[in-house]
Amino acid sequence: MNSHLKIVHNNSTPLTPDLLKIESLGKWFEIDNKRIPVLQDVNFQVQQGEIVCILGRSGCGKTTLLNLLSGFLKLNTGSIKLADQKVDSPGPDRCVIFQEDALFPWLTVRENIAFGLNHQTIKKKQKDREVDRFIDLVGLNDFANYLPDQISGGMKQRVALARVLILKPKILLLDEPFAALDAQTREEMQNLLMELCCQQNHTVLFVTHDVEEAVLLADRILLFDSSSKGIRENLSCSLVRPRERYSRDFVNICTHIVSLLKEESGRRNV
Amino acid sequence: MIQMMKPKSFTRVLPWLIPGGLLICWFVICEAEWVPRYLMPHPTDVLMSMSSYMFAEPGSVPYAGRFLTDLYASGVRVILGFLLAVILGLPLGLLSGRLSCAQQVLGMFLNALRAVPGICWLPLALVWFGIGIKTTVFLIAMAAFFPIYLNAEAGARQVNPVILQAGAMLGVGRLRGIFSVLLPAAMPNIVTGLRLGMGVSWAYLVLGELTGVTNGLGAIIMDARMLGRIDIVVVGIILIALIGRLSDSGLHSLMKICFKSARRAI
Repeated sequence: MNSHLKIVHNNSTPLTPDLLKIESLGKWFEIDNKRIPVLQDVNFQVQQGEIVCILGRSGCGKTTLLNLLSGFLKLNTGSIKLADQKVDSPGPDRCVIFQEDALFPWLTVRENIAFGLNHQTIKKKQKDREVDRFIDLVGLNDFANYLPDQISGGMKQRVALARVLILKPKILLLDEPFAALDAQTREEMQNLLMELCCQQNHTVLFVTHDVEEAVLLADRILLFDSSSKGIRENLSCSLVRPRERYSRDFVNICTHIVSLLKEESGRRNV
Repeated sequence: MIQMMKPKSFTRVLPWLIPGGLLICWFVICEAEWVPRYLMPHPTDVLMSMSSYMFAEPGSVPYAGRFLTDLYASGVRVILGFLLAVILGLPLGLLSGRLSCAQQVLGMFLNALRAVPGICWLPLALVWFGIGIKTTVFLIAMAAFFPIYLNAEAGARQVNPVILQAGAMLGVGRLRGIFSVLLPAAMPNIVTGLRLGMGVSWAYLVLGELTGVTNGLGAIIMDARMLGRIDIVVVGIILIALIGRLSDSGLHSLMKICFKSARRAI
């Protein structure tokens, strides 16, 4: 294994206290009176300021996990705790950026970004200042009064990012948010996300099936696997930032992870 | 030539092509006397009657100066019936669209009721409410309810679940979510339902005023028919069409002023 990629053991002592703690998590769906297990006995922790990627093929339960963490789905067994508080419903402390366009189409860019603050007790002047700051941060000053239908896919994801960052969530949950973007815009968005997260020390849980994206962004990569219905490998990635996509170490790590994923598909086909 | 016209002025002309064409045909038919005047009055006669109906001194000639009184009477009936339909149709539609149990309870019953033509309710309404405003309001409300209910239901059902999840994730509770996410997201369908409901309200006004009420735009049409004043019948039809069109634009503009989400509706 590459020196920048290490296996993390669940019993290893973290340097900082855990922000998110998932214990013995299990989730199944009932279809035609048949119980279909999706996640079984999933255990992991995320620390404050950490960027964790959940990497896996389609159907391995990564989006289900994100829906459980965001409170959109109820878990069947185990527990999810965020800052020692049990998670059981959606809330602004766990903001999600969705893969598809989830902006409110009747609101302008500015109104979309301000939406969450409208439901908090905050003075109008302070709210306006914050909204201006975040519009500026994501570089949409010239488009503040445009409707979502009038802007590009990349801009929409910038709005989605600003709309959740403005609420200062404890953890940011991202469900393949750049999957539908072209390669160049995706790279821009990845850089913007890294910049903002590093600046404000955000904790991020990122779901993706793109190995390169996972290695580029993550401090830790949780390799999900449909046969074990949960985490197969918990890998710590210590490549220095900013990461160079075409450096030898970067490519080596990607190749290693791809081979791990191939092992799984090999086992599936046997 | 069409090609030489500016696109904007061309699109302004388009809505007037059919009314203008019909007017020319009407004029030509009357001038050529292909149809007797007691069946189809001349456009100039209709214009004179309209002018007398709208602006002449009341009582100077039959139907003179009655327009405002009739408009007020009909307007009150339409507004009351329409509001009743909105109060019932909108919440029930939203409820049916979001809750499958509500859809199961209401769906079959309302879809069966929807198949009953409006005129079938007329005898029942007369027995229940007698001649007067109540019957007309009841008939208008019955007619306007269905387009409002069905469109609100479709709008609520078609809302992208991700939008609702985004609202919940941004801290909007269930009750507030109805007003700040569900209603705005379903608004294009709701506006369509309201506009259809308003159109149907004017159509059913005439049916409601068939019952023998003394004033109202529908009432004068029936009255004039019995007295053989076809020109007044045509005046009534033209005025209902114009007022119907104006109330549709007014409703659409009002929705756009009151709700940001209605600006997306076509």
